[in-house]
Amino acid sequence: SHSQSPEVEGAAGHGLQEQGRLVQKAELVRLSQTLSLVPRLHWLLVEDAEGPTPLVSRLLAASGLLFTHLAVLTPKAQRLREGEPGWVRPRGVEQRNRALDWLRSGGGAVGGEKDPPPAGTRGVVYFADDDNTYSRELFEEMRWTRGVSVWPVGLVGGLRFEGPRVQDGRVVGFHTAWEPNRPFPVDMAGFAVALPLLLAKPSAQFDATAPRGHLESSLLSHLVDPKDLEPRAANCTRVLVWHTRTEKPKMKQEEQLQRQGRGSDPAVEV
Amino acid sequence: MKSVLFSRFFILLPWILIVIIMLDVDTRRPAPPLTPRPYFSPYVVGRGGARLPLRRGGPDSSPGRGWQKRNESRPQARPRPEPPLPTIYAITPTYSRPVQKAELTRLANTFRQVAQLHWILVEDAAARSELVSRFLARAGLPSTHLHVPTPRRYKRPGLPRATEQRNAGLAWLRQRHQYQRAQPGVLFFADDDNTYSLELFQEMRTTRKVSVWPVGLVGGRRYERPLVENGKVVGWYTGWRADRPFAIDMAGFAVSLQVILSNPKAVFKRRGSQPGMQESDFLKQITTVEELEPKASNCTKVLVWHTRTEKVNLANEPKYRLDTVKIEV
Repeated sequence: SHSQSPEVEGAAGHGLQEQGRLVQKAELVRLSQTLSLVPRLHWLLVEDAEGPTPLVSRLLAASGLLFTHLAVLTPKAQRLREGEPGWVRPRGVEQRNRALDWLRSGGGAVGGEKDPPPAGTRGVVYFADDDNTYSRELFEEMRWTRGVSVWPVGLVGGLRFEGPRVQDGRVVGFHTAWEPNRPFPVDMAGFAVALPLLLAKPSAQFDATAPRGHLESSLLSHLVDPKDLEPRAANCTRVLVWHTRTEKPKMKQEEQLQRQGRGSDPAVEV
Repeated sequence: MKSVLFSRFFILLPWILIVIIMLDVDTRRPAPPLTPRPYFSPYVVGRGGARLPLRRGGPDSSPGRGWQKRNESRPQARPRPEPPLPTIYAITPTYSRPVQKAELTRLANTFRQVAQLHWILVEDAAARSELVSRFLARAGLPSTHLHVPTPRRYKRPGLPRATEQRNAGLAWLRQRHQYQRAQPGVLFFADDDNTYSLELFQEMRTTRKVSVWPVGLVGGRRYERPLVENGKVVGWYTGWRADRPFAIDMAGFAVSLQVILSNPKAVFKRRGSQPGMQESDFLKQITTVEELEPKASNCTKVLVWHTRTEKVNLANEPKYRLDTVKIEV
């Protein structure tokens, strides 16, 4: 009979400098509201920073969720330069790998639960970027993953949705238009990995030097063959997660005021 | 002997049957109440399956809120009978575009966690769409599904949007309460791409007439807010046209139901309104700056953000549907 399995999840908060990422708090607020609806969820929030920031620490404490707070700074060589479009360098790599490290060997948590789940814990790991939109149903679909499970992702890759093609309960191909020859043409939001599998393959992690779009494949190719992917979401016919992106807010007025020395009170947290 | 027993049995049988039927009638549960039971359970499952009180409230929430404290001190007891919470009515105009379902999903994920919230969803459409109808059926909160199409001549860039839809929400509330004394209620205009913290709802619930608070990431600034002195609004910290009578964003105020019902002609206007004046033109029909109730610690906390979602890139979609299945996004 099934006992409830805990679900462990990693969220890579791409927290750049406060000014550069003004939507961070809003994104984390609405993400935490969605996560609050999911039973047996453990939120691993990894900041792109040297240490925990007060904003994120406070938010986590107020969320009422079970969480672990981690932080690791993206090395300079990997950072986006001023004016570079977001897709030029893979983002969140060090942060996701930090979460995997913590799950495997613990240590280094800067807030929340310090100890990783004990060996033998049944769980599943999902990489939940903070600007995507997740339905509650998605988490129940992934919960009973044995190896790696997959499902469609809405609004990604220049399509209404990208997703695996399924026949007789097996993944036989992928509906995708962008770089279809990737070994795993799935978005970060489109798969989850069983915790025991990640622990059994301790060297499986994301490769920061992977070519554009191959980040997911750089992890998954350590873990599973495409034919062994477990299709979810009614044989991959339902979209339960969307690759939404939030506009960078226009700060023209703010910049003007700051030049005049009259910027908005920084003590008011946004 | 046998025949006596048989005849006794058959004489008794109808009486036994009658007794059984009467017992069944008595123990049947009373008919369900006419008012819907609250959808919202005050508890969510938190860590390790334990039941946590909902919204213990972080540093941003003010202490001493009656209903919240009650949940904290007696998490397992049934709540004392108390005056019902004022219902919060969220009027959300929505229109069909690729991110619509995603936006409504995350909004519903927020609203489900607010006690006594009634969602009024108004589609910019000539008829209720299947997508929204199906969505609301599973959304897990009390809702009303309306629709009204925007006349084409009003769909030009630069013209105010969602006017007809917000007015439809107001009309529904007025019509619903025309023959009965309204329970206390508060309404606000919840655009579907904004982000709302749960604390915001605690703040707006005590609105007596019209309440106001800061909005993040709007007007080209980190935030806009009413300026408050001695508990009264005295001005506006805003990025655009601070000379407006009410220089505030749609996400920055709430109105008590009573005020809406007492001002039956107050609507969002098309004729004679300039772009950017929607909020101001509406509020001046129902209140004065003097009457405004500042919330969020005298308007110094940002509890709502004017987030905007990027337009989706569908460059790789074929012109004509090629796939063999029809998948809703």
